[in-house]
Amino acid sequence: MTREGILMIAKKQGRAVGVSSPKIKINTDGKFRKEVIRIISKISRIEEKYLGDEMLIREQLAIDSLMAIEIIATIEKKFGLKLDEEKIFILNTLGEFMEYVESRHRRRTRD
Amino acid sequence: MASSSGLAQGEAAATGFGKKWIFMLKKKLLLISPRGSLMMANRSFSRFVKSSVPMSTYMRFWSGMSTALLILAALAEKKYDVRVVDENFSKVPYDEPWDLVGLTAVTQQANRAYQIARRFRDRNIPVAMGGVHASVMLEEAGKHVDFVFVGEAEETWKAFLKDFEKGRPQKIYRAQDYPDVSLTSSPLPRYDLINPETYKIVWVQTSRGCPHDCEFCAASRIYGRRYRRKHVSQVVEEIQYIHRHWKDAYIGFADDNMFVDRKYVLSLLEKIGRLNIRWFAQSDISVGADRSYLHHLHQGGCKFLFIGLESLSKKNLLGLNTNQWKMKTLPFYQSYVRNIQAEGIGVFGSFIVGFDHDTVSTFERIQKFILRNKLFGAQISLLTPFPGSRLYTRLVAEKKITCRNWDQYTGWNAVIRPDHLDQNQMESGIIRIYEEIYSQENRVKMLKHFKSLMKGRV
Repeated sequence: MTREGILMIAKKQGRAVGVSSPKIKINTDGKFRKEVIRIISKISRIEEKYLGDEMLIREQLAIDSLMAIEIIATIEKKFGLKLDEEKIFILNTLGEFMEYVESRHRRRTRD
Repeated sequence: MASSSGLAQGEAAATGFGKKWIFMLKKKLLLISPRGSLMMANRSFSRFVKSSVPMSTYMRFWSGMSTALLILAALAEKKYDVRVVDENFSKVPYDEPWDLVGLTAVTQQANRAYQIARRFRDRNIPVAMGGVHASVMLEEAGKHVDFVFVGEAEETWKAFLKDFEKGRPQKIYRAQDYPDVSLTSSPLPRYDLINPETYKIVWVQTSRGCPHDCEFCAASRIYGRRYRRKHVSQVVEEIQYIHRHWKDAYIGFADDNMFVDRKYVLSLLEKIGRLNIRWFAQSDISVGADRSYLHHLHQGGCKFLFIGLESLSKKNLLGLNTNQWKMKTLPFYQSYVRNIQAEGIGVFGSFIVGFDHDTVSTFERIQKFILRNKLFGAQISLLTPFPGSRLYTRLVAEKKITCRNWDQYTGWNAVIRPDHLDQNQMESGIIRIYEEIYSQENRVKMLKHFKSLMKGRV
């Protein structure tokens, strides 16, 4: 089969065969949360629709520590927050990360 | 030879001739990448890797599937029902009725490849083998398999399949006896045959050939130093195809040296920009000279570069390349690393220990360099004389090779005796570097450094 043939079949079948990120609808309530997801999407180059709360940061999203620190640096700069780098080694899912960032944001807003 | 094709196992292609239909049953081809031992052949290293989260992540990350078998699969797909098995992740299906088995192996996989070959040949299933090891150890490989492939296999594999079909296959297929391999006519690798869940990275090759001819490198001796590349449109098509399987693919450009033709890479980035991919590549350090170029790479999705720094000793680098290229770049290592990382691209430095001028103090020197320059990552391996390399020829002559068990040729096992280090010093020395540079304390220091760089860029 030619290269074109393979591409044609894949197109007809609408593959996405074995897309590694399940489509999980994320709770995008709140401007802050939306903006953080947009930053994560831009740096990791993963479409926002695949950034579900249950996704494992390293194993499923393949976001390495370098991408993670770029995300943290951008959030810190944009929202004037102070985030702990060591959380990169502790937080496993995107939901855990969002919860941590939102808690820091709430604390700053309250203070 | 077992003939096994049938509707139950194979695909059936229908061809119409007037009112008659002739069913051509595809034969079954199994392509295998044998299990590799990598760091695990060194028991101390194995224990360390299992106990270290960063090291386990590191090992897991680098376990991509090379495109070699996927290209062979594409070349055979017209007449064969092909399955590709990576034994690191799935079992070899010995009991299915295969018509032909193909193996590829680097040196540390060779013994395992021979074991697999024996199981199939015991059942009269013919086995072909190619790859770096078989290319240089063809007599050895020829004792274990039916057909041996020397060098790049695109043309020889096509010729073999025709001969095999006619029942007149040769024992050895040498690339030099066939037309030069043109990457511009290379088929789309069958990425659809591998499981997206298995790998963290997907390898894509845009070019072959590296001009530096390092003494320890077997690849440039076997596959040639001449630089050849695919059309930009071909690479774009491959990445688009990968994206249909992995929506969040992390692309690893498998080229020996990605930036030999920098304009080509820029035109590639221009075309793949809309695909929004994240990627890394292998390079030499000279890419660090041009901040503006590095800026384009980062904007185009480059996350880190794997760079062969090899040694920090001028004496070791002297003679490594015939043109002394590596030695000449040594004075720029720090400033180029700084330039690259300042643009938000991590440097994953590759170092080798075991040169004749290395001593016990070499380990500390490398460790300090990595920590002082806050390298994003590092690979420290032991000098290994892979068959086919100039290093192998020299060390055989100097009687410095201490082990000829290919299982140990992982790059993390000492198989030579340099002038000033013994086996234990080498193997334990590199573990100590890994323990130190991948300790949580030093990882956090590295991340703080990057955070400060990146905040300045936002």
